[in-house]
Amino acid sequence: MKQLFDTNNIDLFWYRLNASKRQQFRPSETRVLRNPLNGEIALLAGGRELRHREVKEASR
Amino acid sequence: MNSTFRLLAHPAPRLNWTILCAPVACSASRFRDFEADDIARALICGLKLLRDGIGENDFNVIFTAGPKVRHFYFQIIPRGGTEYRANMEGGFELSTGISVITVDPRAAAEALRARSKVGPSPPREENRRKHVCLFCSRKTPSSLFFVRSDGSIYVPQESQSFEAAAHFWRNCDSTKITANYDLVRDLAKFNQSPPSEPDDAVRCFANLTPALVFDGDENTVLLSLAKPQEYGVELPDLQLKEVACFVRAFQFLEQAAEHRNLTLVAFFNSGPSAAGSVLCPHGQCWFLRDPPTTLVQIPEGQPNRECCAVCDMLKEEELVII
Repeated sequence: MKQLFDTNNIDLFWYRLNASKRQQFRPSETRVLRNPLNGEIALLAGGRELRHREVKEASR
Repeated sequence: MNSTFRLLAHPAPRLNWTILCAPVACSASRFRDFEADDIARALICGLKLLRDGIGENDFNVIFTAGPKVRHFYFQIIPRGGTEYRANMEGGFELSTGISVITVDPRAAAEALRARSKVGPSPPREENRRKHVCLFCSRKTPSSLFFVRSDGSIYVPQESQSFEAAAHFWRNCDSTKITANYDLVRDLAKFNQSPPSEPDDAVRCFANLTPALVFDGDENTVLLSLAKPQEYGVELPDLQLKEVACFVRAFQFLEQAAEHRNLTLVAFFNSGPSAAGSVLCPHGQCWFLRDPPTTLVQIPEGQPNRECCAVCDMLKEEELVII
């Protein structure tokens, strides 16, 4: 597969994205829930739920 | 449009009026296999057809692309409540997992084919509401890269905003969303670094409040226009070059994903019914470690190109719109 973009730029992008984690709201890891009835998975977005709750509390 | 891509009515969609757009040639599976202009032209054409044909304003655009995809394609899925309203999932659909649509895809193709002969309507003025967009006015730290109007990529060297964020959290509880808002305010002084250039077209930045949080390189980024839009503008009304710069960003992110052995999931959410968070056009990408089944069409070691469902669809003349 041809490399369309300079790999130095790709490396710099990854450095910046991983550094951006310090700016993200990441209170908890996402949990993977598996439905025992059919094997399908659901992702529990703990951070998002917490965000909604705290925003509601903060706005009272 | 162009001869590279065809627009079809999806033969068995989850939602009415879904358009499927695919290249005629079955030899490409990645964003990087195409000219950005070709994908952008097809996307604009499909979006304008849906807007003019059924009055649709809210839509998801989802791309099926990647090293394990047999034949690149994307879908434009209407989500709004127009008079042609998207079908809703009720008890039957939820019980059985079977979609029930109310518009025959062949009738949809015929209607959109007829609409395509009329030519696109001008932008709808009622949607040009005055607003301040968090994304395109650069109120979110930090810029990861820019796509310039000639399609080149510029990745800034700036690192002060990251150091400032690390310093901020030394005295704050990072589980409090209100503290995160304080951080965003605190970092505002870095938001114009580097200063915008006249030829910046698209900006990429990390999603500050991702729905899903993973370890390692799995993460999510957003793409927005790089210049503030005082009035709301819709994706189909952007210039071809601007949409091509979004595609160019997808191409860069795709190579970045493959560089780390990750799968890129790329899409646009436009409008509140489609989970769009701001009015301005914006794209989103996820980097995932485990590829979703939708992006794995070629079993390991079996690149069987004799049988391609997309090629079969392209032969169905009644489904072809353009």
